Amino acid sequence: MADSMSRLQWLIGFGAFLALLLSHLMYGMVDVSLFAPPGSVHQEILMHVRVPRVLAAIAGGAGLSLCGLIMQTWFGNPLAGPSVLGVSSGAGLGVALLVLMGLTTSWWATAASAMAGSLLALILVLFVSHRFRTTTSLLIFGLMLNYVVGAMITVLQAEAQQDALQQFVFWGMGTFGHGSMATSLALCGAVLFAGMGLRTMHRDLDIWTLGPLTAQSMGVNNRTMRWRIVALAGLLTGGITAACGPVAFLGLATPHVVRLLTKERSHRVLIPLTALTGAILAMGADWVVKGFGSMEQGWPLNAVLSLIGGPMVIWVLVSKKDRLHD
Amino acid sequence: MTEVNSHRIEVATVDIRYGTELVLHKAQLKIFGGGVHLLIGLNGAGKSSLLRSMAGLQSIQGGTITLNGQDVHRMTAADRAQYLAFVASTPPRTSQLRVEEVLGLAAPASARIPKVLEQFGDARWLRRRLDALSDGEAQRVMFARAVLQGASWLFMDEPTAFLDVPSRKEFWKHAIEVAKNDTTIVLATHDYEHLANSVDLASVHLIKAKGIASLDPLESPLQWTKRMEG
Repeated sequence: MADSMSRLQWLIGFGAFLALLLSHLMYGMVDVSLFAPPGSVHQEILMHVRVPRVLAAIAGGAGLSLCGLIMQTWFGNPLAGPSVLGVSSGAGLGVALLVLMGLTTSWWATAASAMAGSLLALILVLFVSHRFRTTTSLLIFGLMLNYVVGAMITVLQAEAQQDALQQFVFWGMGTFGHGSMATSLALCGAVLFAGMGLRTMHRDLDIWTLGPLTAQSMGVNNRTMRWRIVALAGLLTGGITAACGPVAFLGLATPHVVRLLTKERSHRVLIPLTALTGAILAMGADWVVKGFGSMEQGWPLNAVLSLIGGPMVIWVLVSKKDRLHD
Repeated sequence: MTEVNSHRIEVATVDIRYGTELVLHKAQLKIFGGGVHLLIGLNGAGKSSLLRSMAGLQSIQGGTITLNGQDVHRMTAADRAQYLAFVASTPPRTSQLRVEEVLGLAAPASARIPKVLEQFGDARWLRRRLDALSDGEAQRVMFARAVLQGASWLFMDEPTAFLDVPSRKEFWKHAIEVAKNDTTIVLATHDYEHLANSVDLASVHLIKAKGIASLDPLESPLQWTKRMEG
């Protein structure tokens, strides 16, 4: 029996990826041809709506899933992830400050502010995490962080102008469909860069699963690794959150889906596989959003993801396969 | 070879502090390469802290710890790993890597992996996941990993805490074999009666708040215990 990912499994993965990609491009409110002549309405729809949206889903899904994977490895905690530990909330506060106070509508400024917010939240989590010996106390800290940041955002909402408030509420539901071609390409570039950066760290990430002390004794520089993880996870979560809203559960859930699908646990395989699976799940969720919506907006992405992700967390908590050791 | 020949570790006027609590003050200790060296002391005396500091894994608040004149806290983690290996008291519990992967991290693509694993445990564990082994089995894998790292110094902090009595005897037997092959072992343990019965220790050091006292390694372990209490 082959323990490793077989070529067939990879082929199925890429097949699913390609099928979802093409179906998202071709089908929607109107069905378009991929080979529409330049200047036609179909081509306009492709370039301004479909391509940016599917690219945002791919980058958002892959990026958040990679964040979830490295956070779970770093904290040795199967329930870590950008949304549960408050990193997405931090990014949300960054967005709220600019949007609700009506300071700017520039996506790039919003993204920078979101990145600052998620970096701050992540540093805070890292700073307190060594005080928590158990899986659940770290999660409770993340939950409290979510509450506190949520309260700050509520205060900002109470003070906000009507149109700014409306814009913010839509953003908060999460969607892959708000970005432009430029923002989606920027996200894809960032995720690709982060993924390749992580790939160079795969050995250190493997060693890290043996515990911080052992990792250090085997030549891993804790400090360098910590700051790389903070930078990658913070900037990715910030950028994706600014573009797609505070996307729930994807980062937490994808690594678990991957662990169900394969017995491989080395990061050399987990990193590309998590990115691929994250992109597939995000495009899949976006089909539910598009398909079940009776209106242009469809179902809110976060509602769809929470309906799937919430039970998943409960399943992980109840499952005996992941030892939580409290 | 480079300047660093693994001959001597020297702890000079070392302070170790947690917040305001001073665990060790101006500690002095010299250990020469070769054989098995034992650190003993009551709970909380600072054995583990000293051991981690000597392996360069914990920072000290005063003094220096040198490996043949080179400050272990100024070496990069990668450099240190060539000379100093470490076995923690608790085996990892959440790692899902296969045993062969864990050992491969210490010695990439080494043909010695199955042999070394068989020596300290069971070569049939190779394909099993670390979290599927018992704590005792996982600890023996971690020991094999440290040996495969190929460092000339091996530090161990209570390595038998998770082993049953027969496994402890086995463990010490293997450790002693390793020490015969040019590896110096420095360890902290309460299980020194087993150890002293199976090997002539190179040196024994009693860690106390007042300082480190070197004991006679030929004395019986009972005498060491009395000195610890006294």
